[in-house]
Formats: sequence, structure tokens, C-alpha cells
Amino acid sequence: MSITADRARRPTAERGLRPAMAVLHTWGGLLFGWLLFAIFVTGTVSYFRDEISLWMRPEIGQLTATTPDVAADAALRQLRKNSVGVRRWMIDLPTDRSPVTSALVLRDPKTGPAATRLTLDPASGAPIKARNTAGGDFLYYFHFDLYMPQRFGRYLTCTAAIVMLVAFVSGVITHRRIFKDFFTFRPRRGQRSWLDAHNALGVTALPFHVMITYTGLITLLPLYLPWGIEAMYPDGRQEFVIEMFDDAPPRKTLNVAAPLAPIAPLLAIASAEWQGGTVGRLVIDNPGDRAATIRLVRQDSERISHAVQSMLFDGSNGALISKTPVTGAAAEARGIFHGLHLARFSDIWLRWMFFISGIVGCAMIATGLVLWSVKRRRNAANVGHKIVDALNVTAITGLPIAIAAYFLCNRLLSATSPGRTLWEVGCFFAVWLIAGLHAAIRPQRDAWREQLWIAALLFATVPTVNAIRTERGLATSLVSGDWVFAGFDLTALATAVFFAISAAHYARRGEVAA
Amino acid sequence: MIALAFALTYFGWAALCFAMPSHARSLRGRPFNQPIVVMLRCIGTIALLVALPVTAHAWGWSNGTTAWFGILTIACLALIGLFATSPKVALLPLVGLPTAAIIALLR
Repeated sequence: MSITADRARRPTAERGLRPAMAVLHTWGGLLFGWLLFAIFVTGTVSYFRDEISLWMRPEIGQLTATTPDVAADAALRQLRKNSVGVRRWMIDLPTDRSPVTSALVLRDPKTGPAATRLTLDPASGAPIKARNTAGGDFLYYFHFDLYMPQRFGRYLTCTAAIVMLVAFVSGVITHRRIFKDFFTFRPRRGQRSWLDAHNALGVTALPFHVMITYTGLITLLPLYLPWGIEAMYPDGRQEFVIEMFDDAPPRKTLNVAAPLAPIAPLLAIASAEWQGGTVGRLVIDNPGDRAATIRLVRQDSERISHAVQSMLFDGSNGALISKTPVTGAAAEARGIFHGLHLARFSDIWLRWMFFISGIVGCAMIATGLVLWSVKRRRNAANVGHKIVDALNVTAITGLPIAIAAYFLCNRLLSATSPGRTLWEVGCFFAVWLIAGLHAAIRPQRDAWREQLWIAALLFATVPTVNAIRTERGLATSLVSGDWVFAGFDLTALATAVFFAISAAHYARRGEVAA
Repeated sequence: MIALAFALTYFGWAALCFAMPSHARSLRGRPFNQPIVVMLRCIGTIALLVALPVTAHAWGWSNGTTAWFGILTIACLALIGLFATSPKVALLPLVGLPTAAIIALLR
């Protein structure tokens, strides 16, 4: 209402592109800001998906590295021990980041559980008993699935990404002073400081922001632009999937027993084909049957492009059946965009740079959301404004609190309790819901202060509880050079310090800083 | 190499920053002369660009280009943060980063 009144009072010259863009930026950014913040936070955390998964399963100790040959051989020896009714073995070999072999066993439902997941010691193939947890995978899937049924979450994520791209363009036009005020941050100046921070965070990491949003959209391309695929593959999507991911359905079993061909020579053939590349995954269909096939997939951390490279062999005699053809420019471009988004090619330095850039993105969204509220403080008593304030608190501090609770729950629940995976996930959502209720009930200033302190407290508790509940506390991991655990605990502590400083700053500055 | 890339980008951003009249004023009370401004802009831009082959040397071209953008972002935010504390503090990494880079290269 006030917007229309404002506009009527303005001279015609101001009714141009910029005010129009400002409206778009303000309201698009606000409506999708909370969702985008959640997507950015969980996405940023997912750069360390493997490391988080390792931290959440402390029973997996530090394992010595093995060659792919040894790991593949050891895993197959172990899996052969129970191969009744097996339709497929999918074996992920250890990588620099994840030292274990993980295997997925798919069975004929008549002979046993349809799907079993195993974690194997890479050298001996012996199963490792580790607690059940969704680990970093939960945060990774939440990042684009939002833990919603069907594909609803993915459609929402896509829409949010499109709004984000719109917000970039309209933002650069709206915040016209970003280049004139480059390098400017004026702290302790209320609204001005929030605007400066929003601009600085947005513009310094703009290449990252645009890249990550655009490539994110590319990863879900077949979902929201299916018509090209439908036109090219009129017989259904399966054919597209087969061609795209080189994942043909298994051959029919012949019910003639035949041992699996030795695996090491096949790994060598694949490695030579990829100019020294390494096999990351083995997919073996109908093992033990004459119709067995072995598909070797290249590790996705070796090149930027995420386009699959694989070779298919006959399982019984080891003859090459097919290999991924040289892809066209479009497919390769898509592979590179997808790969850039996942950043699996990064070494540890690059990974941290992506992580920091992601944090900058989160901070940009958070400052934008707060700015909306600070700018309209005189309407603070309005119901709409109160809802925005409550949602701001729920998203910006509530989500980190929920993530800390997820990690804490992992350590506090007994390692053997049944259904613990669901309990952890339930804990995440329950805590987030409570944070939301708290934000709705408490006056805005109290809600911010209390949740900032709670976030600080919980993140400080994470390494503490880890030290109590496992043998791999921060002191031990630092001394033994266990960088996954030390890095996780130190990051949690740094997060705690950040929230504590914010809380202290908030308490001191009071209304102006809000 | 990574330290050198950070030193170059920080230097580049700082040069571009002090070429702007308002920022120069907060450092030394008055803006630089026009010729110095032009020089700062040229040197700054060149330093940022030279950091690219440095990152490419450390990571290879494809990963190095990605890293270059990351280093540009982090160095720029560091400069903005330090400059907000005090313009003089923002000068400290101009000494510290090259020193770190030299130590890292000699090691």
C-alpha cells in the first residue's frame, strides 16, 4: 500500500528501470530469501560432504591408502562370500577424501533384503561396523530435495535459483552505487552498514554467485526443461538416461554359472583408456552368471567435467563390450557446468575457497533479509513485518542451530540404537521447528539475541561432546594429524566464536545494529 | 605459490582502492594526483591479472582459473574488512603477504 503511495508522489523520471528493478529485487529477494539461505547453507556445507560423513561415523578409523586394484579385489572377495540372488554390486573405491570402500548390494527380493549397504576396509575387504547415519548426505540432498516428497522440493529449488539469477541482475541495477562505493564498508552505522555489507558480499563474490546459481540450475535441467529431451527421445526418458549416463539395463541372466574375470587387468585397460585416470566405481550386474557385466566408471574428482566416462566389459571373459563415446560440445559443456557446481575436482585449498565463497553467499542473503527489516523498522508493529522478522530469525539462526543439533544428536544417540538415522534427521527438523516457534513467540530483539547465543553454545558443544563420546577428541586428532576430525571440530569452534561475537555485538549495539 | 597469488591480488585491490578519491582521502587526507591515480589503476589491474598465471602454475589452467576467482574474492573481502577497521591497518598485508610469499617460495 505504501509503495503505491510512494510511487504516486515521485516525479515521472523516477518511474524508470531502476525503481522497477528495486521492487523486483526487494520482493523477489524477500519471498525466496529464506529458502535460498537454507539452500546456500546446506550447499556450502556439502562441499565437505565426505568429511562430514566420516566425522559422523567415528568408528571408521584412519585407514591406510591402498591402490584401486587391491581395494577392488578385496571388496569382490568379501562380496562373493554371500552372492545368493545378487543382481548388482555397486562398489565405490576409496578416494583421497573417503578412505573406505562402500558397496551397495542389490538382491532379488525373494532371496534377501533388496538393498544392503556395506562399508568395507579397503585393504582386507572386511566389513567395518560403523553407526548408521545419513551423515553429510542428508545435508547434500536437503540442498536440492528439501526433504520433500516427489519432486516438489526440486521444483522449488529450481524456482528459487531462477529468482536468484533475477535478483543478481536486478540487484546490480538497484544497488547502483556498488561500483562507486567499491571497497566501502562503514560499520556501526545501522541501515547503512547492512547495505554496505550486502553490497560488498554480493559484488566481491559475484562470479561465484552467478556461477553457482546458474550451474545449479543446469544440474536440474531435465526437470524443468524436459521438452528437448521429449522431442529427441520420443520413446521415453529411459533411452536418454542410458545414453547420457551410459547406464544400460542389465542383460538377462543365462542361469549358467561362470566365475568373474580377474578385475586388475580390466582396471589397467580402463586406466590406459583414460590416459592414467583412475576407476572410482565398479558396477557389476549378475555376478557369477555367464551374462555378468562389469562397468568401470572413472573417478569424478579427476576432471572438472562431471560427464560420465565408463567402460563396459563382459563379466565372464573380460571382453570389452562398449565405452562412452566422445561426447558432443553441448554434453561436454553441461558436464563442465555440473562439475563446477559439485566441485569434486577441487583439492583441499580450492575446496576451502569454494566453502568461503559459499559462506559469503549465505551472508549476502542474510544481510539482504535483515536489510529489508531494518529499512522498514517504523512498520515493526505490522503483522506482516513481524512475520518477516520471525522468519528471518528462523532461517538465519534457526537453521545453524538445527545443523548443530543434527551433529550433536549423532554423538549423543547410542551408536547401536535402531532407527538412529531417522532420529538424527527428526532431531534436525524438530529443533528447527522449535527455533521457529521461539522466533514467533519472543519479541524480535530477544529472539535474535537468544538464538545467536544458543547457536554459539551448541557449536561449542559439538567438539566437546565429540571429545567425551569418542576417542577422537580435538586434542587427540590434532596430535595425530587426523585432519578430518581436527578440521571439523575447529570449524565448529570457529562457527561458535562467530555466533558469540555476533551475539555480544548485538547486545552492545542494541537497536541500531539490529 | 598460493601465498604469492594472495599477495598479488591483495596488492592489486589495494592499488585500485587507493586510486579512488574517497578512499585515498581517508588514508592521507587528500586524493592522489591524476597521474598517480592512473598509475595505481594500471598497476592494480596488472597485479590482479598476473595472479592468474600464478594460480595456473599452482593448479593447472582449468582449476587455476577457478582458484583465481576464489582468491580475488577472499583478498577483496579481506581488504574491505581491514580498511573498515582503519585504512592504515589495510596497508599491513602489503608487507606481510609478500614476506609470506617469499618465505614460501624459498622453502
